[in-house]
Amino acid sequence: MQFQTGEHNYLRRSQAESTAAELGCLFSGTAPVPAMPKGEQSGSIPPLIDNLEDAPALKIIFPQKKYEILAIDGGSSVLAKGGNIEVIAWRAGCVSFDDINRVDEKCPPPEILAYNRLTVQDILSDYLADTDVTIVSQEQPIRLVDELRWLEEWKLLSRLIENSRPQSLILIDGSLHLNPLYNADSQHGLFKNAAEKKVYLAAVTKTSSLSIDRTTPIDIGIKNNTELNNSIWYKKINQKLKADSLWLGDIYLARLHSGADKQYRVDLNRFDEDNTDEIMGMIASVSDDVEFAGYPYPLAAAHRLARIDSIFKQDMLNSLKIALDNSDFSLELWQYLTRDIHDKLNADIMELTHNDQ
Amino acid sequence: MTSNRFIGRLIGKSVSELSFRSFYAGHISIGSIVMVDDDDTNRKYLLRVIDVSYGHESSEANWAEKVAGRMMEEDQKDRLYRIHDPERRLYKIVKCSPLGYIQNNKFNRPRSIPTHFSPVLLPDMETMEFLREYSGDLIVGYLRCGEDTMDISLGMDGSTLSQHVGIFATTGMGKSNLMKVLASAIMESKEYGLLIFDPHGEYFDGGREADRKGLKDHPLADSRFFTRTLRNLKGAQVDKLSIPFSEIEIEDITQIFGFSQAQYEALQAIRIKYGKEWLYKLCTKDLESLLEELQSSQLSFHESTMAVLIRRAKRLLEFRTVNKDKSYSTVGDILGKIQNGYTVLVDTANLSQDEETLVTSVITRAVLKSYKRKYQTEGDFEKLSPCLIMLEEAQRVLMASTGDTNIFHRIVREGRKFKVGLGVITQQPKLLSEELLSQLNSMFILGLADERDRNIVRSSSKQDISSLSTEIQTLAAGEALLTSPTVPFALPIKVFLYEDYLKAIKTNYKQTVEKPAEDFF
Ligand SMILES: Nc1ncnc2c1ncn2[C@@H]1O[C@H](COP(=O)(O)OP(=O)(O)O)[C@@H](O)[C@H]1O
Ligand SMILES: [Mg+2]
Repeated sequence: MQFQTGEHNYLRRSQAESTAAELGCLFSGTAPVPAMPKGEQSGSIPPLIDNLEDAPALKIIFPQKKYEILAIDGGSSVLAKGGNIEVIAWRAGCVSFDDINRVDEKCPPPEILAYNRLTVQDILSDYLADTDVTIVSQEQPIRLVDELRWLEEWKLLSRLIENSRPQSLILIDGSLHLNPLYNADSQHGLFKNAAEKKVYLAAVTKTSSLSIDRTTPIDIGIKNNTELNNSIWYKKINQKLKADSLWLGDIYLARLHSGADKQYRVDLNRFDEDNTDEIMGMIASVSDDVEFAGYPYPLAAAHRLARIDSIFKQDMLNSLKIALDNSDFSLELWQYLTRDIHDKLNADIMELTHNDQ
Repeated sequence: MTSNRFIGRLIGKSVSELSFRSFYAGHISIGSIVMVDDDDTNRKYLLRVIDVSYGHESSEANWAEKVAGRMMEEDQKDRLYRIHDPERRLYKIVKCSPLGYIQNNKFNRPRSIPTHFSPVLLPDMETMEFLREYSGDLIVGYLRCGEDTMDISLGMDGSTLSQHVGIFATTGMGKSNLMKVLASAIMESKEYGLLIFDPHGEYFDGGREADRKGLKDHPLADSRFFTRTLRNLKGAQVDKLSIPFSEIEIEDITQIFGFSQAQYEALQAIRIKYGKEWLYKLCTKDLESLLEELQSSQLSFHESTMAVLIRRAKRLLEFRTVNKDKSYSTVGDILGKIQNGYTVLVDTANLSQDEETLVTSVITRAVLKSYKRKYQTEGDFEKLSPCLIMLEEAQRVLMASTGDTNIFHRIVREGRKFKVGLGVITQQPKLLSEELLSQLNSMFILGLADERDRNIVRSSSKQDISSLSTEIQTLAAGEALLTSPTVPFALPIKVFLYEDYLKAIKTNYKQTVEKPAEDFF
């Protein structure tokens, strides 16, 4: 067994140098243009049931045997920004657990890219080339760093589904919404494939159970219900999905440990309806860590593994600066890139805590 | 790193103190010797574990306290919880003192530090083989690695016996057992004489406890082990313990009685006038005739002074070991045996404290005197076996508070030159002076509960064991540290349990029955 020494948190010199060179090229031909508007890309939410309080809370029962449980998460960060030029870094990592013990982990050093935001479509298409994912929505504004991170997680998920034994559970950070930017059939295909292989998929929303996509507040009304407060349970909160629904998962609220201070939103693969009890049991069986009670520990581990935190971000910037120092543009370009960053310092911290993790 | 000896990686911090991260689930105990494999320099560093503490990876302030608080809350509500991923989140920090490094099979003192993050391993036989060179000829146990042992026998070098030996342990920690094992090793070597004073009567047959064995049970006992006692002990070479008046000197008497200056001068005068008969005269003559006889030699003493001397001398008559018959003496007989490399047990178990002290003093003094005489007058000093005089409860005669003039102190000071060593066994080394302790070149340190005992031993040992207080405190019965000028560092030893040791060696000695040559004595 080896200790983690943070060996996946580094930027190779060659990466820094080629990015610096790319930046040089970008800079020489850049004219400032207005930034693109940001937009939601959450997709349509399936109709929720009317009264959450009345929905039956089903008791979660721990499975008898131990399963392999994997967890996936991604990390990304905007390292620098100036006009239309942006430098971004992203990656996806996964961990696998045998009960409480970590048996394996995979997390590469991040990819890094300097690009002009006017060329987003082309870049994304390039990255999609070796997948069966295609862009279908031309109206959607694209935030490249999010899409590349999504794609990285998606590719990793495909690989894990392919290589997992039946009745393994793959935990995903976030929700199982369909990404409306891309063709639905590739996304459905992956989830159907998982169901056929009996590889379970579940997404758990890290932030809070009390809203869905930050727009729909959920009043679950259990504050004064001692019975529900002291037990573990789940309830389904969306109405039955139509056969042709584009949505990938059914949405549940679940209280995964009797000492949890909140319930989490859990999405399960909608093509795998028969195994809900078992999957919830499996999730609960890894949600009894004393520090993260009520939240599946493997996801916390995956998050910590893959995230690009501010210290690492600073490291990468330093490597980049060193590489830039060796080019003709160094000072001018660096000021151009970091002026914007300084202007957006607070926004950046917000991004770090919410998205860039 | 797949080796199951792998226990961690080095993280800090200096030539005098190294520490490494070890596994959450790994058991590592104080006193263990671990090694660092430094591929960069091709050296194997040896470290001794001196402390183990907790570590965790969270950078959150007071994380451990918070988690513990959370646990307690869950406990009170009877809820089940676990710590996931323990090997990643929790670990141990092991603090070590560097012992040295091995390069090309040679052991060297530490002067540098290994490469950062070097792997730390449990030592293997191949690496520790070098210790055999330092094992000495008097084997008493195995190399101890924490709570386990390795198949490397260790002991002390007989050549250092005459530089004195200390055996220190709180009662029950294995002094007597070690003493028996060491006595066996000495008997087996046939090169050193050994004189044991046994105030508890435990060395002959193991004492009162039924399952304990004594030196008489040793396969060589019939040929190399002799006992002098007043007790009714059964054995081929058991004889009466007898000290003639003529062997007792003023110095011996002063061990048990205090004398005024006047009394002391009178004693000396009497000693000069009557020679070896002095004590005999003192307790057989009446006061008047004694005063008269002295008067005739122009020696006049106060009547009361003389009365005290006579009264005290007569008390010696009550000692059953002391006899008026000078034709029979144990002393000469004991000397002969020791000088020829045999082991003699002087059993003082049923004697009063005063009588025991007198006997011990007389015999010890005689030993030093005879070795000294051979050194000065005879050419065959070289042929003389070096000897060790083992003193149980040594604090009684070596206590710092009673001065440093008696025969035992003299042996510690002068014995080395004359091949006479003192073995100081005590459970309270703090009662001995630091100066005396520093003369004990070899020390077996077993478990010592009292901090003051540990401190004085630590400060006077031949190796730097200043960081080993916790280890000494936590030693279990039979676990020892040996410091000596001939070992590279304080050796951790698990002393053989004497009874097991006997079983193991008995097979070796079945055939070889040996008799002492008659003309030795
Ligand atoms: N080397 C040893 N191995 C195992 N047990 C031992 C060893 N030495 C001592 N003991 C145990 O400790 C007990 C006390 O030992 P002893 O030698 O009488 O101690 P002390 O003389 O210091 O009071 C023994 O009866 C034995 O059970
Ligand atoms: Mg004892």
